[in-house]
Amino acid sequence: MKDTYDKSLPFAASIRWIKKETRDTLSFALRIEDEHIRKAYAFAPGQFNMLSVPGVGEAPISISSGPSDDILLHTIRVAGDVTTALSRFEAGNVLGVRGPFGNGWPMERAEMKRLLIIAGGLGIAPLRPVLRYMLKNEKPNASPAEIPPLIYGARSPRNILFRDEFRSYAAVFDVHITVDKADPQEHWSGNIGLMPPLLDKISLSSKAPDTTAFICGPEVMMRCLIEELLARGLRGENIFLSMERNMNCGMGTCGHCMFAQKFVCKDGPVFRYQDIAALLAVKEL
Amino acid sequence: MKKPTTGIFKFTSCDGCQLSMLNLEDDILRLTELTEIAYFREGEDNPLVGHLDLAVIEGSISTESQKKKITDIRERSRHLITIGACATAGGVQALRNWADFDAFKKIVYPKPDYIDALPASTPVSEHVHVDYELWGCPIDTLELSEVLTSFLIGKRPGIPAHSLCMECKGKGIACVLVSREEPCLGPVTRSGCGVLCPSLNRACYGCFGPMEGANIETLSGIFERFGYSADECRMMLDKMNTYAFRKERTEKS
Amino acid sequence: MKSRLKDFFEVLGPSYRIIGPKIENGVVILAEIKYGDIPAGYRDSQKPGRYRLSPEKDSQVFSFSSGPDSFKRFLNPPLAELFHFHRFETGLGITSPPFSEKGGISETGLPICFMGIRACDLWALKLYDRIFPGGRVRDRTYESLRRNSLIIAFNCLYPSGNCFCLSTGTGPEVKDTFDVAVTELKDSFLLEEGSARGKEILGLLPLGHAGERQSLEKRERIETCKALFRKSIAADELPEIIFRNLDHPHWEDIARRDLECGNCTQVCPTCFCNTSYDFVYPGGISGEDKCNLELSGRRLRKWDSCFSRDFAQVHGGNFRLSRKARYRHWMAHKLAYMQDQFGLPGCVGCGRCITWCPAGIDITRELEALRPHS
Repeated sequence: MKDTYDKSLPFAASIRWIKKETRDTLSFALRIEDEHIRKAYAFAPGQFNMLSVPGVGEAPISISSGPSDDILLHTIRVAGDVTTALSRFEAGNVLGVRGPFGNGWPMERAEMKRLLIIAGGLGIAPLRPVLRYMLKNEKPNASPAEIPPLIYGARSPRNILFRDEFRSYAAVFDVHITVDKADPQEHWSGNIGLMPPLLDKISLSSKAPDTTAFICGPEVMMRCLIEELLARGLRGENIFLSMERNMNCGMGTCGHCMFAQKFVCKDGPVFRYQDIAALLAVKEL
Repeated sequence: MKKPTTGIFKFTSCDGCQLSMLNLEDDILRLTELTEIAYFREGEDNPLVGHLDLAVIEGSISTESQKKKITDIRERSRHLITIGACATAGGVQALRNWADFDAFKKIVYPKPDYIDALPASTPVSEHVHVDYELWGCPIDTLELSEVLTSFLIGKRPGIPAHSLCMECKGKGIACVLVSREEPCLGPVTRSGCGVLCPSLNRACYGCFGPMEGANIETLSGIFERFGYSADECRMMLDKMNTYAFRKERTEKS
Repeated sequence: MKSRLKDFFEVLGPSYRIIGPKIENGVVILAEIKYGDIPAGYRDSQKPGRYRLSPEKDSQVFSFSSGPDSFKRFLNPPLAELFHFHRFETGLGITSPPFSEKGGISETGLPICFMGIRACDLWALKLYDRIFPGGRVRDRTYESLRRNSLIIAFNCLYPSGNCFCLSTGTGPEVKDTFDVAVTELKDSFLLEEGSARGKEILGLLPLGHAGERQSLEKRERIETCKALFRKSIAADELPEIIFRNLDHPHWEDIARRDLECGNCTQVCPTCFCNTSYDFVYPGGISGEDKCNLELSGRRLRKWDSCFSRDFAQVHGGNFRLSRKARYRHWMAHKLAYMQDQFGLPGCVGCGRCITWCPAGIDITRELEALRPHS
């Protein structure tokens, strides 16, 4: 399929609203200005856009809205030049967008009963479209055994992203949240500690071999959790992870995001664990 | 919105880098519209008062009073950048760091006691935090323009940390090292000059200082195979960036 | 008879920008040339980290081999403008550079003719045709420069001391991807068509008919050339040698010798990595509000290299922090990854990385050191 608009040139998108999620994280709701592109633009959960602040530069940002939501949402952590520049923007301002790029999550598996979703920190951003999709396609009267677990880890309670949304996710998912640490004044009564122990709270045993896991978070976290999942009987071919690299062109022609022979921008960012397990074992590829 | 205020300061240096600023020509006119030059001895004569958004420093720290002055400037300034080999790497005057300074003074000055200087010339970054360093002897005006523009836009300047060879090959210049055995410092020197010397069919002499992770040992080994002595190889690096090259070398070994 | 080569230039000159070999400061480079620029009778001597060019008695017209340049300088320029932008608070204007429908650069509006491109570079060109306009996204710069380009290929008769295309299966004889193939014989040039356009061009030249004798002489000459190769790699054991030895201690040994200057990546005809960035002149800043500056500038794309320290840099870390990892990435990309990525060899055996490495690092020897038995 050939795109009906040129993905090598940014198109204008105006900011409808900005929401401060945590101390250093902001969500931008965008509206594509050009009517033709707005109609042609379609993305799959797990894909990303290159957001441009022309003059400053461009950064790859995963799409956080659901595929059928009427706004295009990006949740960013203020870290580099582009995200810092974006943090100074206001509703009504215009930025540049190229995309969508990448492959996205294997959504045919999101229909299945045996799904496990694990996110760490900002890693929930590319998984939110999956959550939104499943929320929308919620099946009534799901039996307890069919409820997919959703595990989320954050540095502290105030760093939990989309915190107000977890209540609604609980209708569809078996939600487990943990934080690395919590100040007493945060009144946190939930789990404190690393993510792997949460795996003991969900019953996987008999259905582990045909459970599919979607994972996104810092690379160390993902490596550690995948080890735990494999030990619990999940299969490498059923584990999918979203990787982070420094995409510069988004189209597989700049070489920046190469992870061994994989272009994270076009072969990924979502990879089947089995396909990259050997590469993950080598440092600095 | 208030225009950002800029101050341009000189320490121990030849003024060449400040003059590069005036050589920006059309760009300098626009830049002076966009910023308020609060202090610039080379261009106008106002005393330094209040705070600055950007301090641009030329020259190395060579005297006790300069140490105090640079601390004062840093405290007044939101951002501080150094321009040129002196401010960024200690300059050619840092050659005294490896010599007998008292002996130098006696040879040059009839009354050496009048000379109140530190025994070592050091880069500004040894004394205060530097937000951005611009290399070169003198600096490249395009790079300066990029740094000042980036400051105004609010981004890190897009200046490469890689070797001069990359820029040289991009320009399609015949390599003087490989084709003529010229002792070219390109492979260990930071890109940014616009490939001045190799464009004129000459070897690079490293005026932009060591690139990040310069492999000086390997390059010296190559020059020794060309017939240069170890001493000659060392002297090739002992110029305006002597302090930076020697530091790169000792930190590596 | 051989001076009839001039006819080529006369026929093609009005409709193409002829890019071919020329001597500059003692090196054969590629540039826009006239017939007289061809370094006829020159022979190069190439060793690891060493290049010398000298006139040779009794030599042929084309007895020199590849210099540092390849077609990539012209189809994927070291610096290219991707677009011009004008941003203001509530809008964004994007303008593409003017690409010519006829192909080539817009100033002359003429497509490029590559005169004297070798077999190794044709394989690299084939790879570029997959890298750049490939997939769902077009690369407008490459597409425009490549459009209607004409390929006059030459069969190599004298490999340089660093050539190893015979072992990578990418030379010395040109097989496809050309419009006209030229073989220099003892007294004449043998011209063969490789496309309809090639045939058309040959029709415009006053040529004699080539027969069995010329074909035989071509075969003999190519066989003679094959016997002159001094370097080779174990191409049939790739990519396994690389994938099985990603943790080999030899990478550390290379890192000690490696200057990290990036020369190998810049002269390699298959290296394509680049960085795009925004460039603004002070004159492009119109607004004065720091939050929503009105400004205009250009997004540029320049050649980069995996040897640049900031190439794999993200906020808060670098995916290839050590020099060892950066060298390994480059060599593995050439000898293992590219085949997987584009279905064509990533190393075409041209030997440029060996010649133009000031440290004389020789990819054929480094690969040999990784092989189990050595």
